[in-house]
Amino acid sequence: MKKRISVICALAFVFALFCGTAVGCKSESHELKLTFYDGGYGSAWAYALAAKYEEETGVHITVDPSKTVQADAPNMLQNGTDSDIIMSHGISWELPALQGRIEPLDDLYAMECDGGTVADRIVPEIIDNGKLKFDGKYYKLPWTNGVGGLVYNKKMFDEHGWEVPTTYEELATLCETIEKAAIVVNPNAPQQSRRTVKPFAWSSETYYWDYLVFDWWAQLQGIDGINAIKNLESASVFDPDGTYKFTEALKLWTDLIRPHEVNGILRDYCIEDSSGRDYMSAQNDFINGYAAMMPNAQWFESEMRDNIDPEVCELMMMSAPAVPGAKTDDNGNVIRVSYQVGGGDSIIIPASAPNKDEAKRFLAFMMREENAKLFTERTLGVMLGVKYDNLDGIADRYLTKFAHSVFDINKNSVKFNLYSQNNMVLNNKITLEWADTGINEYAALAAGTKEIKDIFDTRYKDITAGFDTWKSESDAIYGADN
Amino acid sequence: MENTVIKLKNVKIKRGKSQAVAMWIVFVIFVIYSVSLVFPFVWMFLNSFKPSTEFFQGNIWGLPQTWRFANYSEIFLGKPVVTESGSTIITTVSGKLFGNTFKYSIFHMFIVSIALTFLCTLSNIFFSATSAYVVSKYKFAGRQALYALAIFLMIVPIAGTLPEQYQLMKTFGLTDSFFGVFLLSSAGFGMNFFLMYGFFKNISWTYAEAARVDGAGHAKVFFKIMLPFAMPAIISLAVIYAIGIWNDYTTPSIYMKSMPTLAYGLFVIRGTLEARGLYTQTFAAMIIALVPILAVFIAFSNTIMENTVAGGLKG
Amino acid sequence: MTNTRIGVSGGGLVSLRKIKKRKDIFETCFIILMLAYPLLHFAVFWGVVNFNSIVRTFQRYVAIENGVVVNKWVFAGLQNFRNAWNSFSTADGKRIIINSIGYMIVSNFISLPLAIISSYFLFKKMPLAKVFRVIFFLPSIIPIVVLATVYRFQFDSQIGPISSIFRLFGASPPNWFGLYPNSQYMIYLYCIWAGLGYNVLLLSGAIGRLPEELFEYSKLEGTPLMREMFGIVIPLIWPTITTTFLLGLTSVFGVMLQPMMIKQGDPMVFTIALRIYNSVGAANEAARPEIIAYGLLLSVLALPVILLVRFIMERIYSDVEF
Repeated sequence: MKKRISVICALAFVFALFCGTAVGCKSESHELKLTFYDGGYGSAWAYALAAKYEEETGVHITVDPSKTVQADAPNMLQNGTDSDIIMSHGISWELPALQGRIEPLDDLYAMECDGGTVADRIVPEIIDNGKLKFDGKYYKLPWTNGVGGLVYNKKMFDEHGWEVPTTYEELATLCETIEKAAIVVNPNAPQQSRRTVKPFAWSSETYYWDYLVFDWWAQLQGIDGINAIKNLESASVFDPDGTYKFTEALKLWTDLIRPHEVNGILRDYCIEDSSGRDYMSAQNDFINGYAAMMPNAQWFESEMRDNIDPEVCELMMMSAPAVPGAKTDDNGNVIRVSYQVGGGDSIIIPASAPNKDEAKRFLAFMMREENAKLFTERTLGVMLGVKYDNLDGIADRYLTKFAHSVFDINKNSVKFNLYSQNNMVLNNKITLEWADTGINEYAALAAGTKEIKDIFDTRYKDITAGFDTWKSESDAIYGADN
Repeated sequence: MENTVIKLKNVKIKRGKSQAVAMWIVFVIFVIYSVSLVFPFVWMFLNSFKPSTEFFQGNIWGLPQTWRFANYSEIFLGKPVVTESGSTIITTVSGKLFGNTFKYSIFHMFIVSIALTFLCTLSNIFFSATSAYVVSKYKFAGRQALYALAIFLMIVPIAGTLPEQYQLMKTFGLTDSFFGVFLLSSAGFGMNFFLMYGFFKNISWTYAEAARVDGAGHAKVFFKIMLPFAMPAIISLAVIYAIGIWNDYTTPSIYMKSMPTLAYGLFVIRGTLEARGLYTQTFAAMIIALVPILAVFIAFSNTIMENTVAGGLKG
Repeated sequence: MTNTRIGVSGGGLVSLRKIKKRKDIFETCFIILMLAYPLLHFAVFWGVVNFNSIVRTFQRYVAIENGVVVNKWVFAGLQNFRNAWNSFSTADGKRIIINSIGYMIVSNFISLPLAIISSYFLFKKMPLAKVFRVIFFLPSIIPIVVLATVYRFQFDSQIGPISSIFRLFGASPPNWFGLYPNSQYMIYLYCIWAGLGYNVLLLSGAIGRLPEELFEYSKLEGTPLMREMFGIVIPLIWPTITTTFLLGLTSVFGVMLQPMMIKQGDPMVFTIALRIYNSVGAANEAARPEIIAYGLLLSVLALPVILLVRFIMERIYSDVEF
């Protein structure tokens, strides 16, 4: 026993040494530290930009990809940090900004960039609707101008002569065609595990469907209508029997995805147990040819590039097919809209950052078109929230069909997001889409265990009941006129 | 183990056939349960040698068609931090220990876990012992109140105070520190106080009296006589407490973010690798993490099992 | 608990006094020294924290007042408690509480009885008992993220072994994790699967302490196993069962890792503890008072239940101690 205890003591001692040396080494000198969410975009872009910046200015950047930065950000802001720049989704920055924990960026927005200012570089819809300001000051830069929706396997479409659907009806017909074809993917497998190509792969991360359904919603509601909802004038904007069109978009989705009879045959257009699978397995199913389409977003190719076999799969993103009743322009053409995936993604500089001025200079550098293109190049198609005239100058080996399709959608659609600075939203009392706890009901709707009407009638009732109290309580925090 | 000492061999067993059947049914259930506990790890081990693509293209059951030992070597030895495709390799065991990769080395996590478990257990057990000893053996104003307090703390969970605990830790500047977690666990009036109170209460005072007559001081009586007496019970409590600390995710995930323990760090590793679709490497990382755990468990298994069995939880 | 009542009269101080009549100054010092750190720790990490929590529940945050940034806490009356109370009756609020209570039911009425039966049989010289005990113990030392990962993979509908077994028999595997409440049941199942061993170990300890004569006697008598278990073993290890049961009650407020690791943030399987955990360190300080009020209110509501259960449990079999 004594021997063992002494072994543990020795280990503890070794550990203490570790800690000592670690603390000593931690204060590694750097001129700028860039901390960002280490997800689907990867980190190659950051190393590339850092190298270029160092070449240009001589300033060394410490690249710090972090899986947990979103959760850590509030602590970093509150308790101080040695990161000069934080880039992540899901940073609630408004209150910390008021508390003086985030550096105001008005001077950055006025800095020179590509012959104009940084502000001029940002996509106009994001400047207008991206809510980059709070209490009259800029506190964040938008990170990406995200595109989401249905990603399809171009290789498979070409092989079987399937057309990319432009309307909802075409999409529905395509699904039936795919089902009817009953193409066996793994003919060599034993009988019971043989599988045919399904129209859709999706996963327990069911919110990926938002990227398609929100587009449909905006087609029906109109961008102005969406922006009106973001203002939350009254509870009635959520009235499912009134002007609220999200339920209509969802109905179209449910009609397609829930197993249903088509010409007398029961059809299920999705891979079995989709809602129960983890997203990486589902994505792998898709790139391995088990499904023709998948709801996803602009990081898909970058995320999966180590696993994609070009003989089996070539990714492309399609514009959201037009739904019946979609708003049209003066010429009668359906107005193409595109939900800005990650509209709340932020680039911020913590007030405690050691080198705020250099951080601003780097961000102005990053907003330049050539550097935005470098970002897009190394993320295989992800675009920053800045203007791109074209994709010229991106090395061919990076310029995939997927990158082109993302670029086309951004170029040819009106962008919108559901990011609101209404006091009730800031105070977590109301969210604009699904339930206030972030529950989306795609799984239950697909399985038929819940109905749209029940979900949204209940929600409307809850919002009506709480609205006035929530409003006054939230106004008491952020001021009534904010 | 006490229960194995029971001498039944020479007693003629007069139990019905149905009972033998019951015994065997339970035996079969135990076998199935044991298999369910062990099989997933065998499955994981097997798959940890496959390339991710092979795994996802349907070879889930068989031996690897291509043995990809790199799954291990990449995690064990470390690879260039970033490849052109953007894959960040986050774990090194014998590679770089400092800088960015420092906080995510499995080896480091293991050391942190061991140290944390050892030190927290030691302090909690020690302070529970001191307070339990005094409250059980000495008469002073307020001892009843302290005892009632301990019972109250044990049975009444107070939910919702975590946010304010965090604020307090922030005031102390301990929101990201090993010492902070250690400090939090060094309580003397938790569950262990209560259990140890029972042990001390039942230890006869005669030896202490004798020692006092011989001129031993209060401290000497405690450290030289009472503590050794209570040692078997203390060790069994320590084992149970240590398991709790070893598996604790919550506290390290809040207060020790930049120095992750295995329980928290593996969660981050899993997230990072899985987000790249590197499932088979995730398995390899988990196997690497399991090896030292199992090694320590095997080395100490007798101590752990026997003491838990002998002491058990005494209500 | 019964054992604490036994032996109170054996307190040593009375006899000590006979030896040393005069009040010992060293004794006082010793008591103070021994208690100083535990009491200080208690005062800070329990006292201050709870005091602050209670104060906070009566406050609300003001960031902007009359167009000016003020960032201050002001008195809020019962607003936070009212909101917390109202949240119980929403669909989400109800589900969180039902999910949480489920863990208590699972641990006390499924896991615990299973563990009692298992430890009894292991004790009855089951072949390979030692091996079983070691294997059962494994989940207690393996990090939960590893366990949760392998568990989830076993049930994956395309690559999981268990679903493959279903398909082998021509049946299509159920939707294990995709739909609530299935996903919740799967987490409960995980708790039983991974938690059984630990309880077996604790209860084996208690059974192992029982005097062997009892069993030899009952064996000679030919007492059936069932009667031996219910008539002898359970009453005799009742204090341990009581403690385990009471700890099981507190799982209503404690469980958060299992849903977090298995369903990774799915709000459908949220528990009380997970809701509170998620709010810690969040940027939105203004939401803090309400979440604290939520926790405190639930604790207050649970208190009588816990006390009642304890009262009843202790009176079922009293005054047994080994």
